[in-house]
Amino acid sequence: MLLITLALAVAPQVSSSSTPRTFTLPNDFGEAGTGSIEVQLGFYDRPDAQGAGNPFLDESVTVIEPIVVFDYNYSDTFGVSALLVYDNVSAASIDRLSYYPEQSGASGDWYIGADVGLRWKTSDQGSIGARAGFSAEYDYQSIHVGGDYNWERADRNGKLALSIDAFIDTVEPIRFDGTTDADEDRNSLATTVSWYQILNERTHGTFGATLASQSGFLATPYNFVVVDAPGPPDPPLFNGANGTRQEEVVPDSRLRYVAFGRVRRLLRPGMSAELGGRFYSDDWGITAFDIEPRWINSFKDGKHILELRYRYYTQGEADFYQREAFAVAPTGDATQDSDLGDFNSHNLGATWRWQTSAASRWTFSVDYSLRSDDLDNLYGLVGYQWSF
Amino acid sequence: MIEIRPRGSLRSLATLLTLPLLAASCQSVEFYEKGAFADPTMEFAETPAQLHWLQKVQYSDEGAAGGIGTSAGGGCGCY
Repeated sequence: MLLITLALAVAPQVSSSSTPRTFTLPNDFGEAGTGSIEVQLGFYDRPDAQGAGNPFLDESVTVIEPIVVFDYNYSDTFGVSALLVYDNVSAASIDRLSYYPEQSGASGDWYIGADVGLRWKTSDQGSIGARAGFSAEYDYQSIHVGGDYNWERADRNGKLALSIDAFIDTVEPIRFDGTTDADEDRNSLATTVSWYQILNERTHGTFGATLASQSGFLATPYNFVVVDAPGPPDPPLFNGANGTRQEEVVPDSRLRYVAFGRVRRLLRPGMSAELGGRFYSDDWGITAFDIEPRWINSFKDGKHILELRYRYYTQGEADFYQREAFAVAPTGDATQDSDLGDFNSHNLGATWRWQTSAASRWTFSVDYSLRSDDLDNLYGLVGYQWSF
Repeated sequence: MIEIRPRGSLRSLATLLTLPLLAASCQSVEFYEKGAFADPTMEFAETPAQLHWLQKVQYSDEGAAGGIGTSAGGGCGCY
């Protein structure tokens, strides 16, 4: 008994953060009175050269996103968390509305959201969580509720997470020509199951699947498709092409299947490698796959951690997608949205984590994505987390 | 590009879904053998804020939503 007690005392403990996070709210437990505050500034920039993505549309976007996440352990079995986020958006999709004076007051460039979460430890091995949130954009509102159940094996070698989240959204369809239709609903229900497992003495990973169902108005309101026709359109199309425009039409339901996994192995003290991947399929005809190897190295006894990663992503096009102008006006589903098209991308990224003290950590991260449809983009973040 | 048809998709999905079961049958690791997992490079260190940002970037850029965070496409007009 003495030996077991001694072994328990000196054995390295696996921190709860060694398991991959599934939720965008904290869900780890700690001692009563402890918690953390995280502040982050994200940036994203996608220029659009003529002809990239949808050749008829300027798809350039720049986003700056400050976010604050607060977490507090009221007791060692009950915790609360909150997330506040704001986006400042500069997008060609918004600028386009300036062609139409009647919409000048309706176009906007912001997104704001808030989520709160509660979590309870129900036993030594189990916990439950509940969350709710609200977000609003100039043409979009969303109400979110969700919950999760977590169960850990007694030997701490495996952990199950089940979650379900519902989004009840309202879209104000501001069309490409400035007209506004009556508000439409968009409802989403997503359920995820994931399993974390210690595979051997140096390897651990997680595997999971998501099933999501969406219904209602699923189109992007300002998107249009171009029908080949003589005469210049008003206002002119992005590449000076001729043609007439009509609204994008997509199905009013969508079922998504996702399977994902990532496995990390310690190569030697202070150096690890990871392989992650994701497979996606939906009933719009899109199949997608990504694979993401990472190399992680620590310096100065873990004070600095550098992660280098590469991600290859490929997706097939939706059944009703067409890049070129339509020869005749489509009467059914039709889109030229580049997000629903056929493309692949190579993403290179790096993250530097700087543990300035036991309670504080800076994170600097940048990624550059090279896409086969030339919609290359750059994104990253600067974050600071303080634990108390 | 290789086109994945629905039947192949379901088979791939089924294979990936069985991985957790395979993993569960892996070598049992005792508590005193878990030193490697205390190494700072073995921490899956993404914070909720980082996950939120990654989810928004990828979901608004690509046709495939899901597997990061919990939304799988809901809750955002995403530009």
